[in-house]
Formats: sequence, structure tokens, C-alpha cells
Amino acid sequence: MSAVLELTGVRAGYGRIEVLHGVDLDVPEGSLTALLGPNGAGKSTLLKTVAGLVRATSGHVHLSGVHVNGAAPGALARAGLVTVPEGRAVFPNLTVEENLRLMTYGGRREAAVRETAFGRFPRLAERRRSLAGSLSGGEQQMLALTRALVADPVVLLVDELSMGLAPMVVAELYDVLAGLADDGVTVLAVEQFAATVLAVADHAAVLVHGRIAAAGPPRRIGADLAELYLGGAA
Amino acid sequence: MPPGEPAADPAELLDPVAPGADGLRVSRVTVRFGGITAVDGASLHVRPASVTGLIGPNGAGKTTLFDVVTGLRRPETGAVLLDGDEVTRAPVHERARRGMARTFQRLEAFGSLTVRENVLVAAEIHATAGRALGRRAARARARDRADELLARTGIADYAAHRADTVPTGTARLLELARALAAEPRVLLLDEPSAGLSAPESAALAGLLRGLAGEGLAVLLVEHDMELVMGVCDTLYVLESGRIIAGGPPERVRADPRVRDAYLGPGEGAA
Amino acid sequence: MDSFLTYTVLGLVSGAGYAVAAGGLVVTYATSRIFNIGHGAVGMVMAFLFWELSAGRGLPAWAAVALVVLVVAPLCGALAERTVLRDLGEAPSDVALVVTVALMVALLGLAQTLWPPKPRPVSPFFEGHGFHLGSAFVGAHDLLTVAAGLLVAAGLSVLLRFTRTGAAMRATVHDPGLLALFGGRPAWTTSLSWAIGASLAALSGILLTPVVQLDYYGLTLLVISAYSAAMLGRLTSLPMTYLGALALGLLQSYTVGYLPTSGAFTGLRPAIPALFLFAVLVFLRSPQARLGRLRGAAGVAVASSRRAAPWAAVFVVAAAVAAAALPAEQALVVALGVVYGIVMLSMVLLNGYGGQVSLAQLTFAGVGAVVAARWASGSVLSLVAAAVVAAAVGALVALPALRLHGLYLALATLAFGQLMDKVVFQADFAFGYNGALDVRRLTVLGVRFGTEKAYLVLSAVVFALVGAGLLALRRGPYGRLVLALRDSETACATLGLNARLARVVLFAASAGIAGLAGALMGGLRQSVSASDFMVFNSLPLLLLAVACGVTSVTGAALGGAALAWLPKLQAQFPAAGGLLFLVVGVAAVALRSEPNGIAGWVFRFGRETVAARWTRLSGGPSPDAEPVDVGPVEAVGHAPR
Repeated sequence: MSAVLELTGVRAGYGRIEVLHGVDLDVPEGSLTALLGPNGAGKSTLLKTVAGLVRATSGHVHLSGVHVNGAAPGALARAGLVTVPEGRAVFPNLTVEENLRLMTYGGRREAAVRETAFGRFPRLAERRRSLAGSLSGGEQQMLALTRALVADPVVLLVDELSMGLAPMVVAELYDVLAGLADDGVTVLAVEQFAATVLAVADHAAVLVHGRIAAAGPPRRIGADLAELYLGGAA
Repeated sequence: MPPGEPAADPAELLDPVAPGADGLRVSRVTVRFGGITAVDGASLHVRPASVTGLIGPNGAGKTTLFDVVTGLRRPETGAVLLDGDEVTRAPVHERARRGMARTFQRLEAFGSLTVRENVLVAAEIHATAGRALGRRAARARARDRADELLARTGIADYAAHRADTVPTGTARLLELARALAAEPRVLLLDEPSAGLSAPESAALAGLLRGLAGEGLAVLLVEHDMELVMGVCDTLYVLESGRIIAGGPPERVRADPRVRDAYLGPGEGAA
Repeated sequence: MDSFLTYTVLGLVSGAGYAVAAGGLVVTYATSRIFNIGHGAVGMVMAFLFWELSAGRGLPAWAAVALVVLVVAPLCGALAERTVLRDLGEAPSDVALVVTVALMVALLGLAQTLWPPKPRPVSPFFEGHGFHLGSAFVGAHDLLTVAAGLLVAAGLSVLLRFTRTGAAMRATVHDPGLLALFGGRPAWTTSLSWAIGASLAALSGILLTPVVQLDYYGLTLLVISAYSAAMLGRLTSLPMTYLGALALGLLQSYTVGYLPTSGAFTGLRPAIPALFLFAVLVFLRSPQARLGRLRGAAGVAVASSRRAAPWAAVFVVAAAVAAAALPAEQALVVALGVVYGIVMLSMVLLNGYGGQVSLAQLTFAGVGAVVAARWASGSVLSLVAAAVVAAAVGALVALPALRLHGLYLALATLAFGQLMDKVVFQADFAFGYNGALDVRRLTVLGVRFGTEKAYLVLSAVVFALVGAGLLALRRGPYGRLVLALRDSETACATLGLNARLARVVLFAASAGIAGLAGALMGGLRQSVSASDFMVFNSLPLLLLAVACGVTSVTGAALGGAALAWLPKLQAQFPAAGGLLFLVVGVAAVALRSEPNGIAGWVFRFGRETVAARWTRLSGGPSPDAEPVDVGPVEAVGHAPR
């Protein structure tokens, strides 16, 4: 199984504050990989580095074998890298339908986008004329994920899908991601909310203080998590 | 949490309001943005001479609750009590003058001023608020207090640097020093350790215990569980805008609902 | 009843014209969060261009309209966005404001250069055609205007609600980065919205010309009408904007029709938009303050009193030498420069330190001049009274905008300035209708400052005192407070400061300094009139202050000198005409990159020279070596989107 996304010795940060202190990570093709870690460990920075929003100061990022350090976010997006950033990646001041309309930049027709969205998430159809900002967190995240569904990505990066959501909703959303991975999309999901993603993930890695502290099968990682998260299990 | 079940309301179980030094009480506060309920009937009690932690996943509503407490946001329902007096409708500066101070998760240091001036201006605002006479002497005291706080928070080395040039961790400590310059009785800290090194975090823990020892009621929002477990006397867990647990830290940590909130249902017990 | 119908038609026509302009404002604001103060000026220049093409060059009217509205205006709008306005939405609001003011002044200058003042009669489209509605005649032009208003409102609604481009326009202002992730082109989208905005400004200018006439200022001030209407729609709702525009048009028309045409109501009509705006501001809810920005404002090192005192002395001595050496008329010019410098000191306090923008500082000077002429004229008390009254008026202006932020305050000052120009200054208790006031020269402790030369020295002393006072203030607790307030009002409030009150005090203090300058100007000129303090003259003053360095006392001195000297230069080279305004506008825009203005360069040059000398002498590093830079404080975890 080849790695579609490969990070070797990646260091990155903001200004002179280094957040990633040499990250090595392989994300195999067509897999759902969970990137876990406590808050402030550098998970979002890692995603931003892959998406081209933060530039690695050293180390290498390879996407499908191509060295992409310093590539512009737009170029990466056109090459099939879809990023769903942290915190409701929708436009809250636009209605559901208008958000869907903007997803036609990916090349699909508006009718096709709606069909996909409303077929997969019937709740969105009910609220099609509501402002995205007035949707529940789960509905917003469904709307955000629709973009991944219609964009036909090679690699999908998802940041904190579960933020502020009820566990049931999170499980439903991760089923969508697992389905995408089954269709051959390589998914890297950053999560704080570990259990749900571990249930569906093919691989897992834990980032602590800017370094990969553990990586392997989800089951094994899950066993150590409480230690890493709550600082010594009760 | 299943609907219908009354929300666990630990603050309600606590001792009745004792006028005078009661600290901070938040009672059944609800905040909605558009159609989203960001804070949903949250209640908590921050006692004087204690550190109370407030934890919860990202987006649980912790910062919104801080905004309600300090007056930056009006709640739809509920009340905020400072030492037994209701301040729910009081303007922001009025609450500050009555002894409430806070730091910000998204930094709000005064970027054009030096680190020392940041603390000094806070001490001066505090010293001269509503005072027409004796301002000069008050300002002299403010200077001493600012220097003392810079030393106490360990950022005296940065005193002469402009605040928009210092590292994040320093800026957070600066916000703490600035809040303390207002000589609060209730102190709200929003992720003060983000950006701090391990030794700095440890120093912060010591400082927080010291402040509680001086009688302050400290409410701490924090992700660093080591810090939270180490300094808090009481811990509340906020999830999706609701307080789902509250009590001594060890008990809260063992609460299955808390483990579910952090790790997801079912797996936490593994 | 008959006349009622006529006034109604008239009102609806102006209202429709305002609606077109307001629609353009809403589109640009909705997509870039920049409020374009120069919106009316764009319409003005385009109306002149239309006149040039049709009346001057004989192009058929329809072709000229098409060329201006569909080609020239959109291109200019997009060009302006690409070159000067880009990313201003993220800049501190006072920077964006000053840049659009510069745009406005530059366009005014351009128009006056290309089309020097002369009568340019403009006839409505399809003149003579129309129909009677009862007793009221509805011209074809009127119908056209109303139709255009409706079409624009409907067209913009469709664009923004039902097209992808429209959705992208509203999306980009929220998060351009996210739009790029969606595959959209935020930069292109923003340019397009400015093109549409400029096009609509042009259309409104052309349609309203028969009503307003081809007048530089009348058309430029359309921005106030358009803004008031847009404000009713909270700068987002097009239907509300449209209704607001119609209401404003009707109100204005009925005022003309039914209010007495004499006494205090003279000139009320042009002031209606300003009054309307004040009313809207009072009832407007405050927008959420922007949080989470740890970025200090630019500023120069503040001189200690020991360093400032010699410079103040040098300044006064230089003024005395100039007074001795120069003939009276030139001494007058220099003294005027110093007085303007004092007005600019008021801007240093308000804008340079406080980050707020006032577009009417000269109006406060006018208040000071009136007070000095009417009360205790000739005595020092008149100066004090001028400052106190101007400060009180300033507080009154700032109060309605108290709950609001920079942009609203600035617009309130613009409306206030216009109100004063048209109504208050014309009243009998002020300058009187088109009148002038005599101001006696001062006698201080028995010393009479009877000549221009004496006034030059006096003004220099006042400048030095006010300047030194500002520096002392800036170094002290109040200066810290003002800067803190500018950086984070929220944090100030949570520390116990009544931030709103503090802002009003700051504004009043600044107005007071301007009032003091006005009183001095009155004595210097001996006769002053409303035209000396027109609100439009405040704008070049602001721009020159910014260009020369609004963060420092030195900048104010340079700016004052420049302002006194520019009209002289203009008089010597009449061909230059409005070109100088153009220069000012362009300079202010260019100086966006140097927030401390020319004074900033001067200081840096001085420091480098000193540092170089020091290095030569000691062979060591300069004493001004910066402290170790430890990197920017973009907090980890919320890096720039």
C-alpha cells in the first residue's frame, strides 16, 4: 500500500514560534487516517502545512510522490487536495442553497450538487433556504462535508469535524468519511474527539508537542489515549 | 444527554448565597446565536480563595460563557452574581470596577504599548477610576504595583518590549498581569497556558495557587489537563453549552459522561 | 394638493437617484467591508465625463451613457480596487477611511483640473417629453430615473441572491481563504464588485445631474444621502436601502415645499441628508467590535520633555526671525501655516494617537472663530471660550456616534460639517447669511498683538505650547490610555474603563484644540466667514496631516506649512489648478506604506545619521539598536486564515 501523503521531518510554525518539531507521517492511499492529539499539539498546523497555508521550514511533504513544499493552496486544491478547515467550513451569511451553489466551482452542475447533498443529508433539504449560520453544528458540518462529496478529491483533509457536536452526529459524519475512503479517497482527519473516529479509521497517529508520539492500528492507539489525554487514567 | 432529564446543576447544590464574599455565581445562563444555542442553562459557582476549572471540548461554549460573565454578551436568560449582587445587566466597566477581571483566549493585549505600559495602564485605570482627588498618589502606587506584577508573572525581562513583538506565551502572562493590576476579587482566565513552555506552565500553576491563597476566586478555562488537575479545587465540564459534571477534579475525571465527552461514548471505558 | 403631487414626484425622482448610488455602496461594502467615502466623487467625475462626451464632443447621449456607465466607470472602479483599496478591509478602520477620503479629494482635484469651473447647463434626457399626473408634470427623465432605481435594486437583488457570482461576492467578505478553498477567485470577485459600485455611482451621478446640477461638491456629497439610505438597510438589505432612499428623497422634497424659505430654515434642504444620517445613527445598533487583534498601531518615538523643549524654543525663535525678516503679507501666510498646524495637532491627538478620524476639524475651528468674534473679542478669554465651546460641540457630535465605531463617527462628522456649513454658520448668531465676522486682535497682559508679524510669533508660541502639551500627555498616563483604547476597547472596558466616555472626552479635547486654532485664525485674518471653514477644506487638511505625519507634532508642523504654502504655489502656477488636490490625494494614498508620514522619514533619517556618527566615533553598535525581536505574536492556533 503506497502512501499518497508523506511527511518526513516536517518542521513548521508561525513566525519564530515552531509548532511542528519534525513530523514523520505516512497516509496510505484510500485509507481513513485519524490524527489525534491534545489541544495545542500542532494538529491544525500540520493540516495547514499540507494544504500549503503554512510553509514547512524544513523537511518534506510529498503528495502522490510529488514534492509539494511551498506549493500555493490554490494549486494544491486544483490538484485534488480538498481541505475542510476547522470550525464550520461554510459561509454562515449565505443560505444552504447558496453555499451549495458555490460548490459548483468544482465543476459539477448545481442540480447535481444539490442532489448529492440532499440525497446524503436529507436534513439539509429541509433547511435549504436557511442561513448556514443558523443551522445546528451538525448540519453545518454536513454542509461542509458536501463539498468533499462533490469535489471528487484525491486527498481530503478534515480538521476537527466533531468540534462542539453531539456524539451521534459525529458518528454519522464519520460514516460519510469512511464511505469516501472506501471509494478510494485518501482521508486525513484531525480529531480531539477520539473514540468515534477510531471506530471507523484504518490508521491512527497521535501528535503530542509537535511530534508523532504514537502511530499504528486504531485499536492499539485507542488503548493508550486516555493516558495521553487526561494525563494518567483514573 | 437524553432530553427531559434535568441537567445536573452542581452549583444549585452548593451552599446558599452568603452575602459579602461569595465569589462568582452563574445561574442558568442561556445564549443563542441565530438558531444555535451556544450556552444552554449553564450554572456554576466560583468560590473565593479557590481555583475553579472549566473544561470541555473546543466549541463547547466556554469563551461565550466568559463573555456573558464579563458583560461582553447579554444572555437570553439567566443571571450572573458577583459576591451575591446581580450584575447581569451591568456594563462591562462597571463589573470590572466591582472586582471582575479576565484574560482573552484571542489575545487582546495593547500592541502599541510596551509590556510594562500594558500593566501600568491597567493599574492606572483601576487606581483612578471614579476618583477625582489624589490621582497623583494613586498613580505612583500603580507604578509600584505594575512592576511588582511584572516580576510576579515572570515577564519583567520583556518589560520594555512592545506587546505586539513578544511571544504568545509572554503575551498571555502579560494579560494575566494586566488583569491582576485591576486588583480583582474574581479572575477569569481563558486558556492562559497556551503557548507556555512546561516550566512556565508549572510557574503559572504556582502563581494561580498563590492567588487563590490570597482569597481570589479564579475561574480557569484550560486545555492542559495536567495544569487543570494540579491547581483546581473544583472542576466543571461544559459540553455543547451544558454543564455536564461538576465537583472535585478526581471525581469529575472519573465521571463516565466526562470521558464520553472527551473520548466519545463507549470507548472511554476501554 | 396640486403642489403636493409635484413635490412627491420630485422626491421620488431624487430618491430613486439616491437608491442607485446607495445600491453601489451596499455592493462594495458587502463584498469588501470598505465604506467608500469617495463614492459620490466617482459619480461626480463620471457625470462630468458624460457631459464632456455628450455636450462637449457631440456623442449621442445614449452612447455617452453607455460608454461612461458600462466601460469607463467599471474599469476605473476595478483599477482603484486593484491599486489602492485591496486588503484595506483588513486594515485598521482609520487607514481605510483616510485612503477613501484621499480618493475623494483626488477625484475632486481631477474634476476641477479637467473641467475648470464654468457654467455647464445640463438638460434632462428627452427634454419636453413626459406626461401629466394630475397637475404634476412627470418628465421622461424622471421616469427614467425611477425606472433605473427599480431596475438597479431588482438587478442587484437577483445578482446577490440568485447567481453564483453574487454568492461569491458575499462569501468573499466573510472568508476569502475559504472561498479559494471552494475554488472561487476572491480577488476577481472583489474587483468585480468595485466595478459594479463605480458603475452605479456613475449612473446615479448622471441621472441626478439635472437635479443637483453639474457641481463638484453637490454631486460628491451624494455619498451622505446614499450612505443614510444604505444605513437604513444596515449596509446589507437592498430593499430597505431602496425604501430609505425614497423616504429621504421625499423628506427632502417636502422640506423644500412646505418649510418657510426664510430665517433659520434657509439652506435646510441640503442639510436634510445630514440630519437624516444623524437620526439613523442615533437609532442604529452598534456592530460587534472586532476581537482578537494583537497588532499595535504605528507611532514614532515620543520625545522626552528635555528633548522637546529645545525644539519648541527653536520653533518659536525661527518664527520670530521669520516675522522680523518677512514682509507682512508673507508673515500672514506663514502664520496661517502655523495656525493650520495647530488644527493638525488636534488631528495628532484624535487620529495619530486615538485612531479616530474626524472629517470636520475645520468646522470646529469655525466654531472657535465665531466664539472668539462674539465673546470677549480681543482678550485671552476669547481663546479659552473658543476652545471650551468647540470642545462642547465636539462632545455633542461624538455622542450620537458614541456607541458606534470609527467609520460612523467619521461620517457623523462629515454630516455635521455639512450641517454647520449650510445651516448653523449661516444663521444670524454665527456668521450670518453669506456674512463675515470681524475678530479683534488679541491683547495679552497689556501687550497688543496688532500685526500679522506679532500674530506669527503668538501662533508659534501657541503651537509650541500645545505641541509640548500633547507630547507630555502622550508620555503620561492619559497617553497610555488613549493608545490602549485604540488597540483594544474591549480590554479597556474589562479593566474598568468607561471606554465610550473616554472616546467622547478624546474627541472633545481634539475639537477644543481645533477651536483654539479657529480663534487664532480669526484674529490673524481679522475677518472670517463661513467659507473659511467649509467642511470640504477639512479633507485636504486631514490628508496633508496624514501625509506629513499625523503621529507626531513634527508632522503637524510640516503639514501646516505645506497647507499654507500650497495655495501660494497654486496662485503662482494657475494652470496647476486642482492638480494640487490631486497631488495631495495621491500622496496620502502612497503614504499608506509609511504610517508616520514624512515626519517618519525625517526621524529615521535623523536617527540613522546620529547612529552612523556614533558608530564612527566609538566603533561600537549604535545606541539606538532595537531590542531583540522575538517574532510576531500571531497566536499559535489561530494563524492568519
